Amino acid sequence: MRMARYIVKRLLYALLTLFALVLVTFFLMHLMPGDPFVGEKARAPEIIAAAHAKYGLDKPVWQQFLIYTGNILRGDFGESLYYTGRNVMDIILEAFPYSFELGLRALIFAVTGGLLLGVFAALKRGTKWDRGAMALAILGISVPSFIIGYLLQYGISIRLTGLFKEWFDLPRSWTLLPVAGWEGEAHKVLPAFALGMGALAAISRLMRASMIEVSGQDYIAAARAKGLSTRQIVLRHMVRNALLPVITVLGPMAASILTGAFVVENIFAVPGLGKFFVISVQNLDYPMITGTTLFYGAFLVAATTLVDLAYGLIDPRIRLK
Amino acid sequence: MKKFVSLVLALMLALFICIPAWASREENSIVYNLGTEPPQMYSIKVTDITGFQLIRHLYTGLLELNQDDMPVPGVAESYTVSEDGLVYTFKLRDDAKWWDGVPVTAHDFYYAWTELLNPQNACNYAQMAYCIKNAEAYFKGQAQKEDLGLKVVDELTFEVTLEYPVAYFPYLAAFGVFMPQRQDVVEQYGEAYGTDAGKIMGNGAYKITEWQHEDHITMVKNDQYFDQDNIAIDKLVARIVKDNNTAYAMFETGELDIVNLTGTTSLLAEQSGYEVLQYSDGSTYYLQMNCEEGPTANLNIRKALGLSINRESFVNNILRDHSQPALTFTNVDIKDNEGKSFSENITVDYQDADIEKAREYWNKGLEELGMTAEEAAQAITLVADDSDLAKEDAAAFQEYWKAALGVEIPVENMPVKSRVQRMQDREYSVVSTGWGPDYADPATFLEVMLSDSGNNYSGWSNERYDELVNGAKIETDLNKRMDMLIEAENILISEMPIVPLYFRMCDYTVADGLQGVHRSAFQDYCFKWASWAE
Repeated sequence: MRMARYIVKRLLYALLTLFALVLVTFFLMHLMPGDPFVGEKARAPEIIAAAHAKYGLDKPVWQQFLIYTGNILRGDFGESLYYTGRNVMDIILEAFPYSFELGLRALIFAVTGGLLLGVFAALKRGTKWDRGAMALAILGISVPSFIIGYLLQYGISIRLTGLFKEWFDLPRSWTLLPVAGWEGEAHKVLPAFALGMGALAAISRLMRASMIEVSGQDYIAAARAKGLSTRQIVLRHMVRNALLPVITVLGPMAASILTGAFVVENIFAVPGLGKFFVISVQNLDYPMITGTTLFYGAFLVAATTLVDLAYGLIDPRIRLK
Repeated sequence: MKKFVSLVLALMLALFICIPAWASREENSIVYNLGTEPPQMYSIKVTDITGFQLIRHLYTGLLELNQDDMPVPGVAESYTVSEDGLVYTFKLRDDAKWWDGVPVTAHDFYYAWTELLNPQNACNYAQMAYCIKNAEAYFKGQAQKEDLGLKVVDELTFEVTLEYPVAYFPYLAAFGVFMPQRQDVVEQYGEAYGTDAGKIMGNGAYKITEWQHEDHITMVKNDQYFDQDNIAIDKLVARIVKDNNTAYAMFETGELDIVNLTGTTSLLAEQSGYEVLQYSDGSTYYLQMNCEEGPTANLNIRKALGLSINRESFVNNILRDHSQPALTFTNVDIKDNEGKSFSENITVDYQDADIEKAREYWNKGLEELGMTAEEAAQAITLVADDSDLAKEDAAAFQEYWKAALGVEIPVENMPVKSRVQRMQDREYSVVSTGWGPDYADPATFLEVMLSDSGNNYSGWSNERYDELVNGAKIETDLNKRMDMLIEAENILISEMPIVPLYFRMCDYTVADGLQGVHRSAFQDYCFKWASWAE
């Protein structure tokens, strides 16, 4: 019952947040200079006027806002001004699965890799293993994903493939891992790696710090005194407690990774959602701007809510009071 | 636990290393890169280069362009023009068919052309059809559809009456927005027509079989096409890869058969031993000057800025491609009546990087304005796009001015739409921009600078120029017409509301054995004449 009330409250807050998001985005984007139908080549005023009339842009902005929110409540996100004839939500829902799949792969890679690396570094604290792992993490954080992407393409898809072809006399169209595209499993490896690398590094550093903090706690000393094996102490007591801060960042991290990464999708030609966040603004595609913002906002709110609920599962102390 | 971890690691390793991919390549197909997703493909609504690229393969108009970019019979097997140049009568061939085998008739052209002019469709290119009788009035709601100069004489005869004679009308009859459309199919899908592979009907050399948005578009040879015996390639796959470096890497691994090259990738391709080819996209890049307000309203200041630019160095060091320095507005590829470049007829009284003269004009201009050099420089702003390349370009212009005139001119970079807004509002002094031709005639450039042209953002207005360019629109004596256009461009060049910079050349390379890919200002790409060498 308490749980239900809590969830309802969270939902109401979420709706309020989303409404504020639409409100601010809507008026901000209309403040941007330019007109969606004005391009490099001039159009006659009557042609621009006809386009404005067709998409309701001839009305005052506040009226457009009321119409827009009304339409959203009825589940209609409007027609894109750039991809004419296509509904904004259709475009988003067509592109989203690609971003989601890529993001999920990257996230699984980042979380498993990051946790293992973090725990490993914490346990080997102060040794060359620790320093090596953390140097790797620093590299992951500071090298932008597009550099990692290009390096992977060049190193694996071109050079390494070239060497293999030379050694084994393979046909021209053979590749170890293809440069770009989103067709089979092989296409998904490099982008997931490039996208996950930064998150992996961040998670490993966080996990290491968190593990070290936990290891100084009294209950670890108590567990040791009880005579528990190191493995039991690490797995049951340390890792479980050290996970909390990691889970906190996981919510927003997941939201941003799963809804499309502009740079990585661009480099690996993944037909995902990422580019729409950028080009909808460049094109002044109003319904697309609000549509993508709202979609991302909803995802972010959902992810943070899930994280809040997950706390309870991991740490009984935070279970709802 | 240890076992589990090693299992996971082994699996990950396997994933990374052991999945070799054989890009499944079909015989006799071409995989190329569109670069961006076309917003939609309803021919009357298309405005972007990628859209026209696809329309060219999916549709055939009354006329079509041949390998020399000249209009030749398409669906119309012949046409006649009345003596006053106003009435075109097209005789359609009887074996032209839609993808589903239904014959193409004059009704299909009538439907598409009237829909193009229907204000409810808000077609951006409706303006191109304004030369048709009563077209502008119809778009503005001042005339009825029946008043339009379009007539279906019979199933296979289509008659077009123009408002005034248009020398380049055959080019329009071959242009993307003038393709036929099937009323029943368009109405079946409504607004969604042209947005998916299954929601479009064409009559061209290829038909679309797959459109995975933002990823690729697949086209296969149309078995109903009247000229199918002359089409060699069975399948075209248009990939959508935005990143140039990625596209180049894909070419290297054989995932693409043809790729565009820019600065760096052009160098890489050369080093890797590929043959770097060029084609002109027909566009001229130039600086537009605000002739209404600020220091650039002064002719001498405009000349000083224009003459300071070192085009040769700009092309070689900044663009690093095979573009050509330009001293005329009309692109070097546009021909006069004798088939020689129109730009050769133009008198230009200065050279590239004419620094001495530039300084003279600068000082004269400052004197006339009563300003110091610093004051004038601060009152001038260069407005440019905010892409990395545009920023580099702008910084180069800044350098040339600094070297020649000794002043630092401020630069403002902004998104394209904002830049166009600034140009419209005349809130700029100098803006870096370009113009690409719609048809192969000097008028496509010169009409831009008419006083009442929507594309003339300079505020420049010259009575004699307007008289000449407007006169050329209705002049039926072609030699006289060409002379008028030459005189007009001479005026434009001496008054310098625009400073020509370069004629763009685009670099690209193709896979070994692929031949006959046509690339030009008016047909980029066209694969109708392409084939793989045996």
